Amino acid sequence: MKKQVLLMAAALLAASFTFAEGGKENAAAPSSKPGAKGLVPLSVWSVMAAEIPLTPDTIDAWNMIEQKTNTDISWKFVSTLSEVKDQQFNLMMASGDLPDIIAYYEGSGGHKTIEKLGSEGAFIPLEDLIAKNAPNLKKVILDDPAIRTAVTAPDGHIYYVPMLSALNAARGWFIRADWLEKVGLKAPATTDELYKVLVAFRDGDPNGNGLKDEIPMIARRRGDDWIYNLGALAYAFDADPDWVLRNGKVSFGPAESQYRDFLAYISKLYREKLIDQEILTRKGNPRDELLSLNMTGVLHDWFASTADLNGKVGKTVPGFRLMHFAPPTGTYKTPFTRIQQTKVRADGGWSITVKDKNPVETIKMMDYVYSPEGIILTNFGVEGKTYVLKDGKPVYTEAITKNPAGLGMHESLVTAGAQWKIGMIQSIEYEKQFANAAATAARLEYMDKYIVDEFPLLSFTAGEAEIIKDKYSQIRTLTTEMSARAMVGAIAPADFEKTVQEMKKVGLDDLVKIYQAAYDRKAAKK
Amino acid sequence: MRIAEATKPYPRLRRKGRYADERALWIMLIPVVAYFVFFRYLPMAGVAIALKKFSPFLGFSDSPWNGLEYFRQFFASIYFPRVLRNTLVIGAYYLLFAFPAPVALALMLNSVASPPMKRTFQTITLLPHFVSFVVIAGLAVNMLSPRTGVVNLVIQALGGESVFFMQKQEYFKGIYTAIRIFKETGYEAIVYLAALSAIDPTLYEAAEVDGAGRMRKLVSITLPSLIPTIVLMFLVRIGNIVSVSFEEVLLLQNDVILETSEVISTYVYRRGLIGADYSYATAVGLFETVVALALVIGSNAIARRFRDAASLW
Amino acid sequence: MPHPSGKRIDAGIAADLLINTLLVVICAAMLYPFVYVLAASISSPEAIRENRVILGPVGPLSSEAYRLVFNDARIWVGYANTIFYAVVGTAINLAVTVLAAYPMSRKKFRGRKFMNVFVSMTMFISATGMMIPLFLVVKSFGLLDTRLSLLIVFAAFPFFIILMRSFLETIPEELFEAARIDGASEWTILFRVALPVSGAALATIGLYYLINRWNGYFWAMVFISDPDKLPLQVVLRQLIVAARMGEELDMSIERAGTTAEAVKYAAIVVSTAPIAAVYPFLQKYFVKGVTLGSVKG
Repeated sequence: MKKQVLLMAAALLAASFTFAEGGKENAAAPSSKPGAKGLVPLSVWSVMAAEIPLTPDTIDAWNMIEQKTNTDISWKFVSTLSEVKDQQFNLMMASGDLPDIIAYYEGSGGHKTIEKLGSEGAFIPLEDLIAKNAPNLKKVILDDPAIRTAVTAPDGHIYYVPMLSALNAARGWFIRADWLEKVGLKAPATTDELYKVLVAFRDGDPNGNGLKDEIPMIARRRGDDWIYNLGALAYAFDADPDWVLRNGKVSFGPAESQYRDFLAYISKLYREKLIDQEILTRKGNPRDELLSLNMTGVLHDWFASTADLNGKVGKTVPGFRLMHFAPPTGTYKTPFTRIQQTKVRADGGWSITVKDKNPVETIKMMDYVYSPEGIILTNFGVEGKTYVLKDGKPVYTEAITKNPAGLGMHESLVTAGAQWKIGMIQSIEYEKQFANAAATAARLEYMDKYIVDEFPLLSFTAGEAEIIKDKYSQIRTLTTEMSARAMVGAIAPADFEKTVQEMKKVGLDDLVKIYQAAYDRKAAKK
Repeated sequence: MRIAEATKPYPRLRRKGRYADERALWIMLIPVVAYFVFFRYLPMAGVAIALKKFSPFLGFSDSPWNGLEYFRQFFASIYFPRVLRNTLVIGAYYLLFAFPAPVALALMLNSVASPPMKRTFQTITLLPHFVSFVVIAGLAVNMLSPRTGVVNLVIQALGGESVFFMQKQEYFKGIYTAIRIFKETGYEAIVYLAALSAIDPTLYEAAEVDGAGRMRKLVSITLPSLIPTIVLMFLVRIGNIVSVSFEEVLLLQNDVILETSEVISTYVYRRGLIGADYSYATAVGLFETVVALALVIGSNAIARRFRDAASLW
Repeated sequence: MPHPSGKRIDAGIAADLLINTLLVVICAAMLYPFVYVLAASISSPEAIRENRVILGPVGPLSSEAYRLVFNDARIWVGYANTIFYAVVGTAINLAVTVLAAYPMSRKKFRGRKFMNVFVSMTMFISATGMMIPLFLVVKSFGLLDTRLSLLIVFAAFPFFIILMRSFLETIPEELFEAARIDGASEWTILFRVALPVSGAALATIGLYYLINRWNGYFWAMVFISDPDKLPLQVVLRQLIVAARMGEELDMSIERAGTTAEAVKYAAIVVSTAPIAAVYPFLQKYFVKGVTLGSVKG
C-alpha cells in the first residue's frame, strides 16, 4: 500500500516536472536549418518594432544576413507595450538566463539601464571588439566624436550598437484642412488663433453628422507620459516640460513661472472641452481611432505615420486631409520646437551579453548590418521582393507601399525584416519614401525653421546617479500628477507654485546643481 | 484463539506512550518542511536585502551593504506619507462599510421565511465571489467610463453630467470599497449565517413568550450571540487590511489616480518588480509587515481586554 | 388577547416586505453587470459604441465577438494552462496540506509543538513583505518562467494546514487506536482511517485552493513571461485591463473601436461561464467549510 502511494506520488511529480520543464526547453530551442553545421548560433531577445506576428525563419532579409555572416540567429520577441517589455526584461535579467544579444530600450530613458547593467557585468564592452573586428562600426561609431560620446556609458565603455536615424524631424502639428474649410478659418499661428479654431471645430459640426460629438484636439500619450505630445504647447510660452538649457544654465522647466502659463492654457482648453476629455486614460490608439471615426481635427504627432493616414483614412472619410502647421506662438513670439529625433535613437540598438560565446562573430554580424549591403537589407529588405533599384536608388514595391494584407508601410516593412529596433542605420532613402509628400514637406519645413537644439545628453557619476534616482522620480511624480490636476481643473494653475515648493523640499535645487555640474563637464570637453 | 491474540506481543510498540511508527510521521512532514524552508523561511531571511544595494546580477554576497539608507530614503520621500495614508484610509473604509455589510446581509437572509427563497438569494449574492478579480475590475472600469459606461448613461438620463469616475482622486476609495462589497459580501455572510443558525431557538421562543417584538429579539438575542463571531472575523481580517486586497487595487489603479490609490503593497510591486528596485522595495515591504503586526497585536490586546473567549491566542 | 400583537404583526409584515424587497434589489444589482456583459457580447458593435445597450442585447445580433475570441489561440492556451495549474496545483496543495496536518494532529507526536510553531510563525510576515524576497528566491532556484514555479511556490497555506489539523483532531481517537493495535503503519492509518472520513474537509479545503488558483493572476504574471505558459486570467488582464493603460495589442484601423469592446465582453463570458455554471453546486461545501473553521483544536 505504501509502495503504491509512493509510486503514484513519484509518477505524478515526475509528470508535472516534465510538463513544467518542457516548456522552458522549447522556448530556448534555436531554429535549425539544413547544413547548420559550422554556423554560429546566436540568440536574440528583442523588443518588437510593431505588434504583428513575425517568423524570422521565413524572412528573406535575415536569411541573407545569416548567410553572409555565417550565423544562425534565433529570435525571441517581446511586445513594445511598456509595462510588459520592462517587466520581462527585468525578469530575464534577474533570472540570469540571458541570450547572446539583447535589443532593449527603456521608454524615453533610452539605454541608461543597459549602461548600468553593463557596468555590473551583464553586457560586454564593445570598443575593443569594434576596433579590431568591425570596420563599419568603427567608422560610424568610434571615429565620429558626437556619436561616440552619445553611446559611451559613464564608466567609459560602450555597451550597445546604436540605431541611427536619418532625419531628425520627428513630431509636429497637424490639422484637418477639410474641417478648416468647413468652418471658414485658416491654420492657426498663435495660441489665440488655435483656441478660436478649436472652438469652431467644437461648435461648427465639421463632421456634418448633426451631433456635437467632435473632439477638437487630441494628443497621444506614450505609456504613462501624457505630456508626451501635449507638452509641445509649452514652447508657445517659452516653457518646457522637462530640463532645459538657458544660456548655459540648466533649469527645470516645470519649476519656471512660464510653465504655469502653459498649464493655464491647457486647463482652459480642457475646461471648455476643446481637448480630449479622456486624454489621461484613453485606451487604444486614439489617433487612428478618432481620426478614422472622423471625430477630431487637431493633433501633435509623428510626421510620417500621421501623414500616412491621409491615404488610409481618406478611403473611409470623404475629403479627409491632414496638413501640418507651424508650432503656435503664445507669449513667446517665435515658433519653435525642441522635439526631434536624435541621431542615436533612444528606442533602438542592441548589446552583446556576457553569455555570448562568440563575441567576435557576433560583432562581425552587427558590423555587416552597418555595411552598405546590410543597410539595404535592414532598410529595404530583399531586392525584387520589397524594393527595386531605380537609377541606383532603392524604391519600395507595392508589397510595401500598397500592402495587400492592409498593413501600413511601417508594419509591412517590419514583416519583411526591415526597420527592426536593433543596431542599424536608417537610410534617408527610406525616410523619403516612408513619408509621403505631405510628411516630407512637413519635416523639411520643421527642420528648416522650427527645430532648435534639445537638452543635451549628460552623463553622471555613480554618486550623482544615486541621488538622481532617488529624487528625480519623486519630482517627476509631482510634476506629472500636479500638471494633470491643473489641466483638469482640480487645482488652479497658479497654485502649481506650491508644487514647486514641494519639489524644492524634495531636493530640486540639489538636482539642478548636479545637472549643471554634468553639463559644465561636458561643455569643458568641447 | 482469543487468549493467544491477547498475549501476542506488540512488536511495534516500543516506547511507552509514543507512536510505534513515528518515523512515518516524520517522513510525512518532509514535503511541508522543505516547502516552508525554501519558500517561506528563506524569503523571510532574504528580507536582509533591504540592507544592501542588491543587484541580482551581482548576487547576494557581492552586493554592497547599504545599512538603513533605503528605509531613510523611503521615509523621507513624498511616497511615504501618501502610501501610508492611502493604505490606512482604504482600510478604514473597509472597516466602516465593507466589514458590517455581510453582517447586515446575513441578518436579512436569516429572516427570509421560505428556504428556497433564502437559498436563491444566497446563491445569487455568492456569484461575484467566484468571478475573478480581473473580470470584475474590467467590468467596473467599463461601467464607470465617461462616455460609454452605464453608470454615466443613467446619470445623464437623470439630467446630470457624466462623471469621469476613474479619474477622480477622491472617488477611488469609495469605488474600491463598493467593488469589494459587491464581490465579497455574499461570501463573507456565510460565516455569520452559520453563527445565526447556531443560536438556540428556545431563546427566541422564551423571548416571544415574554412579549418581545422583533427589534427586542434582534437587540437582545441575535446581536449579542453574533458578537463573538464578529470579533473573531474582525481579528482575522485586521492583519490583512494593511495588505488591502492588493491584487484588486492593482487592477483598478491607473496613472491618473495613483496619488490616492497607491497603497503600500502596490508601491512595493511598482518599485520592486516593475522598477527592479529590489532593495528599496523590500525595505518598504518590511515596513508594511511591521505595521500589520502592530495592528494584529494591538487589536488582539484590545479584544482580550473586552472578551476573553474571542482572542485568537 | 386577540389583538395586543396585531400591530406587531403588521409591523412584522412590513419589515418582512422591506427586507425581501431590499434583497431583491441587492440581488438584481449583483446580477446586473453579468447580464449586461452577456447582452453586450452578442449585440451589434455599433450599438455598443452608441451606448444603446443597457439591459438587453441590441441588434442586429452579432456573434462576431465570439468568433474572434474562439479563434484567438491565446485564450485557449490560457484555458489549458489554467486547468493544468488548477488541477495539478490543487492536488499538490491537498497532498502537502494533509501530509503536514496528519502528524500535527497526532497528540502524542513529539514534533507536534515544534510544527505548530514552525507553521504558524510564517503567518506573521505579510505577503507584501515577502513579495520581493520570494521573487528573488524563485529566481535563484532557476524557476522563473517555468510551470513548476506556480505549482510549488504556493504548495500550502499555513491557514489550511492548521484547519486540516483541527479537523483531524476531531476524529475519535478510538478509530486510530484500533488500527494501531492491528499493527497498521501510520501511512496505512492515514489512508485507511483518516482520509476516508475527511471527505468534507478535503472537499472544502480543496475548493478553496482550487478557486484561489483558478482566479489568481498576480504571481503568474510575475513569474512567467512565456506566453505559452500563461494562465487565462493573465491573458484576460492583458485584453481587458491593461489595454486601458494607453496602448493596444492588435488594432488595425478597421477593428479599432468597433468590435474591440464586444471582444472584451465575449472574452469575459467565455472565461466566467464555466465557474458561474458550476458554483451553485459548490455552495454547500463552502458553507460547510465555515463550520469547519469554527471547530478549533
